[in-house]
Amino acid sequence: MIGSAADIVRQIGRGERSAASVLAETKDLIRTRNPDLNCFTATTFERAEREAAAIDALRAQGKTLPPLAGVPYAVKNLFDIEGMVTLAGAKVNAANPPAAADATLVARMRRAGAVLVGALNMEELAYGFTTENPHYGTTRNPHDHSRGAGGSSGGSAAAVGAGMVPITLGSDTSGSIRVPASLCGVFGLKPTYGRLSRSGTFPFVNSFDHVGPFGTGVADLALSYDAMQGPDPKDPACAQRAVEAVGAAPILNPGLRIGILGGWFQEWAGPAARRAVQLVADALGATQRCELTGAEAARAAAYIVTGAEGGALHRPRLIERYAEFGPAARDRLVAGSLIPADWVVQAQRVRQSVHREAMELFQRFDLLLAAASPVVAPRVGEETLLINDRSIPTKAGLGVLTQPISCIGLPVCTVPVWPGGDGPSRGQDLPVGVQLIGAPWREDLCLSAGNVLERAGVAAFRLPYGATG
Amino acid sequence: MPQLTWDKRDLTQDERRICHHWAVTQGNDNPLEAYVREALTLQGYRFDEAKIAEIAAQFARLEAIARTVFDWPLPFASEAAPVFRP
Repeated sequence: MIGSAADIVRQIGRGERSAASVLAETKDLIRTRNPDLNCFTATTFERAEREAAAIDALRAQGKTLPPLAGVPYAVKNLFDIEGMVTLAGAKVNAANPPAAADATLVARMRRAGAVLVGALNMEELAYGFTTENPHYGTTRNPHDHSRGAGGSSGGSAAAVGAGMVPITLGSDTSGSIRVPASLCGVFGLKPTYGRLSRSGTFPFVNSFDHVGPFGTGVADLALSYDAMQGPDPKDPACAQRAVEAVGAAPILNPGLRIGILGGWFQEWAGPAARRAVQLVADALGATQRCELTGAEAARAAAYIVTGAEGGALHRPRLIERYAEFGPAARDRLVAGSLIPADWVVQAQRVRQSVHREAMELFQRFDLLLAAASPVVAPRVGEETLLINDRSIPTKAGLGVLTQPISCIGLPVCTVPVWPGGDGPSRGQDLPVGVQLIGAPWREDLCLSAGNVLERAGVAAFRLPYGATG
Repeated sequence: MPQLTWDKRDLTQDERRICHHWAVTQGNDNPLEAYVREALTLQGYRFDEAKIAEIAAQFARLEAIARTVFDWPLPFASEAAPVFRP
């Protein structure tokens, strides 16, 4: 493994490794591991060579290194990379002109010294939770190649999970960071809606689109999150808030009040997911259960708004170039574009109502716990999930526990837990993520709790069985 | 207004939602498909019968989900925020 971002920064700072040597190892790992997993849709090695050389030159001159100096990373292919076509997982975008500039977050990562090595596979247009992409192939789970990586940021989660890069960026409209993080056994941060700029990313649903990092640990998330924060006038939803840095190892206040979400979040969590939540609750000393009664309504509201906004966004091209869209996306988008206005208005009213209920819950609790996916990674091509004797379509159902939370914009750190019992064999257990959900703008609490869990060994990044450095 | 059916289910309790579809759907055995057919034409889509049926099936799924949204109790004057602030 290439090492965590925090380790790489430390080693380059001390002169134990150079940015160029870290990049060379990363390229080897991508060449050997990517063919089985299909995480990358493109590499940017020439650019990476230049960025790594700049870091090594800074160090040779004795200058202060930036906070992510020499850390290799990659981005979901809906982020603009200067000179490359932004695919967003869609063939219909393949003939678009190359991006004229980097997305805001890519530019901020570059300024922080990170080294961009490529663009990552995703669900077509971010509409689904499996990354079984009809144009660019399926991204497979690093812990069991017969299973999926989840989506829509499947390439982002699997690339970190396989140890190819310590940090990636993804987007999350309804769970697209949290679900693949859960299935691939990596850490993920979906910040508060409006915290990180989406400028230069291909949109899906403006009302819900979030962007955020994946990492091998809380320190990786925190380092990249701090580097990417700050207002951006180019994204109208981006909040005018000053940077609220969390630091690499945020500390948890021992008096924190933590609630375990029951009701909807219990009903739709399978046995492994329930065990994972219980392990986290025990480690954090959480015993009180609580309920967000509007969870089902929030999920439904998110569905309606997603259909309407996604459908409206793509309608002109659906009319002209329907055949270029994949079969799983196109009819849902067309149907979404027919949604009557009053459904959308009602959905937005419900959203406000459930948000109010959540704010009342945060009067009693500082942090809420829920599983990030209802089950461990399903097998590739599995069309339905069976959850507590109820079946639900996989492509939509994997987000059943995340969608109500992103609907109301709350920050979530997803941590990987290994509950055992559902894996292919002993020693090869499959992970399930747990959502550490905070009140708006309290990413610090989410990351602090993740830090505690990581130090206790309850949440952990594990290289795939048999993979070595 | 006569009793309406929506995908063979009585939706008269949901009049707010369907009243504006009334002109399109009256007299049709499958009002949902009729709505989809008309809306596709109005939006500028051109599909064959098989494709219209597939899109109608997708729309029926959305309609079923929309029921949950309309079942959620809200005060009459509750406001939808066009720009959401968490």
